[in-house]
This record gives sequence, structure tokens and C-alpha cells, in this order.
Amino acid sequence: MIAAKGALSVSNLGVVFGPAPRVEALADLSFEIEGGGIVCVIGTSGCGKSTLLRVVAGFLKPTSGAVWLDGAPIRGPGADRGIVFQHHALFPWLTVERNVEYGLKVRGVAKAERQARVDELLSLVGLSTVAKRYPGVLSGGMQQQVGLARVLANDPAVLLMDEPFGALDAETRLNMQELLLRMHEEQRKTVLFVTHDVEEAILLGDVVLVLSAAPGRIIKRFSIERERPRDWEFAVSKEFLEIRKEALGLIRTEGRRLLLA
Amino acid sequence: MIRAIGLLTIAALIGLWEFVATTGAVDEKLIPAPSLILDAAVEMAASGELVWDLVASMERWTFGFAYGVVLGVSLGVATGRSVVLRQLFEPTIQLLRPVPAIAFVPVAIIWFGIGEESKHFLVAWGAFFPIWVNTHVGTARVDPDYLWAARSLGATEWQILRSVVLPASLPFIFAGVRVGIAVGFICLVAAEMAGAFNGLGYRITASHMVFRLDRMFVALILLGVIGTLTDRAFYWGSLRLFPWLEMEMKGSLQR
Repeated sequence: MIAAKGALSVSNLGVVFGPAPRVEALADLSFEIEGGGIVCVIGTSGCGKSTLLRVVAGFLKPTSGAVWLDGAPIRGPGADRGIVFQHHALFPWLTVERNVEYGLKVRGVAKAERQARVDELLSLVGLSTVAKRYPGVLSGGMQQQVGLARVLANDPAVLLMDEPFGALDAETRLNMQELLLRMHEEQRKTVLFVTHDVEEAILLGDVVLVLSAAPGRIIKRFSIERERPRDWEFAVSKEFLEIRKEALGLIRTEGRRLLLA
Repeated sequence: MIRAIGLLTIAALIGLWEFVATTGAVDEKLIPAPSLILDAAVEMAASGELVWDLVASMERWTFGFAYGVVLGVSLGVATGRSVVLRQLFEPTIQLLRPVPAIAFVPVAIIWFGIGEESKHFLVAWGAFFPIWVNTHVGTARVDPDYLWAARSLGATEWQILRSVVLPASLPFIFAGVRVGIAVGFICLVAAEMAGAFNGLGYRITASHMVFRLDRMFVALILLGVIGTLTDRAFYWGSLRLFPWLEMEMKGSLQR
């Protein structure tokens, strides 16, 4: 394997929205992802998971602390970090292939090269047949596949995924998880994956971080030792179920704490 | 099918009108029968008036409307996307907006005379406001996910303006343009009635002076026809150019 780039380091991150109402979203969050690793972040709703992703994406300036990518501090959005949204955020005015091409185009890649890359990616996700269609006519699963292809076209070091499969039906979600893992086998990109789905997190992650209720801080770090490639059988193994039980328990306790607070 | 039925309704109404006129129940000088209006139209077409009026009106409308679109869209994008420009210009525009555009007819004639400029100004003035308002709202409300997606894919702010903000607000802009088309015609006719030597609005006032209601009706019907055709042409043209709009507009209706 190539010396992995895409090492992400989050140190003492704090985010406070405000001043009125003052809401502390993240508190003193620190973790690292080595290049090519997959870290999943789970937690009860409103624990700041999405806020964390926005900070790493560069959309949001942290109140304290910093995020570093390969030793350089993140100061704003950039093509080195591709983001896959919960609601695909594909441009409805562009066809599927023009959507996938978008990042290459704005960064000034030559037309022939762009088209070659787009064709390659669409066949990787198995969507060559809908290249000329508009995103609005695709199913939710296909839209997320196009969203993933659009991000991969830029060849980012890091993939930031904000509950990308949360709105999909169970079977489509499983297919998308497999697609992501297959892509990861080939390209070894660093992945920061935010989800509310504990099983998804354990299935995908090298590391699963459980956040507390707001302000989000890490209350548990699970190392998922199972080797890759993983398949559905892992999801019914004793090891998997034990982690799942503990993680769910933690999230439920936090959720209740939030209700009582 | 439904469209065909609608056309039948028009034919039936004209038939009824013709029938009532032939019974002599109404004064044909006051409400001329469709056949008399047709006679007048043939006469006006033969003398060349009809074509000249049509060309003059459409030319004025086109110029004025073009100014209105350019100004409305560019100011709308500016006030929609820039907080500073919004604060600078929005109160002024909002203050001018409720003044009916045709109230400016005498002012425009004093400023620009009774030549073409005053017509261009009035059509532009009328078309500007609905286009500005819609562009302003549309560009101000672009889904932030689109902007974030574009930024994280490496687009600069200028690229985002052209490749995200404009297309994302196109459904709004087009809605404003369609209203602008109609308001433009209203202002055109008002301007031509107040002072002109040709054009469909002028034809109505000129025929009025000599009590030729048949000729007035020719001009009125023609105004209806060109207004409808312009609106339809714009609608179908924009769907041809931007096929995704149909989906977006349906979607926004469902929502």
C-alpha cells in the first residue's frame, strides 16, 4: 500500500453557537484518523455529529481547537475533502454526468480528461446507463451513488459522509455500504462517517466513536478488529453483537439524559 | 383534449356573439358583430396599418422588456446575494414598487418626449419589478447544501454565482419574467394611448376618436393574441432550453 495521505487530526475541538441562545455543540473533542482509515461517529440526535463534519469540511469555524489534514490546519472548504450529503445535494439542472464532472470542471481540468474520468466513475458505481438523465428522475439510492461519484471524481484525500444512507430503504442501504467498502478497498481514502445507525457504524468502521449528548464529547471509542473485506456475516457475529449492545446502551443513556435535562 | 374543448368554447362564444348581433338586439355600433370586426381587420391589413401597428408595438415591447430583464435579474442577484447591496438598495426599490407603473406615463412623456424612449422606459419600468422581486427571493433562498457542495468541490465564489446560484434560482426568475411579460404589455398600451402615432394602443385611442369600435376590437383582440403567444413562447422555449425545469416546477408545486 502507498504511504497513506489523508491523515486527519482533530484536537481539542469546541464549537459554541450563539451568543443568544448560546448552544455548546462540541466540547473538547480529540481523535485521529490515520490515512486510509474509516472512523464512524455515532450519537443521539443533536449530539453535534453533523457539526463535527461541517467543521472538518471547513464550512464552520470552530470556537476552539483545530482540525489538521496531513499536518496542515483546515481553514476552509477544499477539494481535498469531499462531502456526501444526507440529501444528495446533486444539482438538478445538470445531468448525471455533468454533476459528476462539476468538480473537475471548476478546477480547470481539460475536457477530454474530464469525460474519461466521468465515464470511469459512472461505470464504477454502475450508472453509465443514466449518464444523460437528470438527478430528479433517479431513485434515492442512485442519487446517493451519483453523489459519491461526484465526490470521487475530485480524488479527495478524505471522504466526509453525513448520514448518507439514512434516508434509503434497508436493501439499498446495504448495497450502498457494500459499494462504499468496495471503493475503499480500491482507493483507501480516509473516511469520516457520521451516522445514527449503530450497525452501519460497526460494519464500516475501523473505529467507532460514541458521542455524548450535547455538548458532544467522546464517551467511548471502539476499535473494530474484524478484518476486511467484511460482509453481512460479520453483522451477525458474537463480536459484532457485543459491541452493538454496548454502543446502543450508551446512546440510549445519553438520549435519556438529554430528555431529563 | 381539454385544450381542444377550451378552443371550442371560444368558437362557441364567437358564434353566440355573432347570433346575438344579427338579431338586432344590440346596437352594432356599440358591440360590433365578429363578422364586422373581421371586415375591419381585413381592411386594416390591406392598408398596412395592422402590420405597422403590430411591428411598432412589438419593437417597443421587446426593447423595454429586454432592459427590464437585464436590470431586474442583475439587481435581483445583487440584492439577493449581497447583504450590503441588499441594505443599500432594497428600501428604495420597495418604496417605488407599489406605485403603479402606468402612473409614470405623464412623467415619462415629460422626461423622454412622445418618442420611442418613453415607451421603452415605461415597459422596462413595469417589467423590472416582478423580475427583480422574484430574482431577489430566488437567489436569496438557494439551498445551502448546493453552495456547500460546490465549495467543497473546489468552485470559487464567482463560479458558484454562475453555475449554482443562477440555475438554482431559475424557476423563481422565470416566474418573475412571465409576470414581467404581462406587466410590460400593460405599460406598453398605456404609453401608446397617452402619446404615439402608431402601435396597437394608439390604434385603440385613434379609433375611439372616430367611434370605430370594430377597429378598436381588432386591436384589442390582437393584443390578447400577442400577449398569449409571447407568454406561451417563453414558457415552451424555457422548457426546451432547460428540460429539468419542468421537474423542478412540478416538484415545487407538490411541495
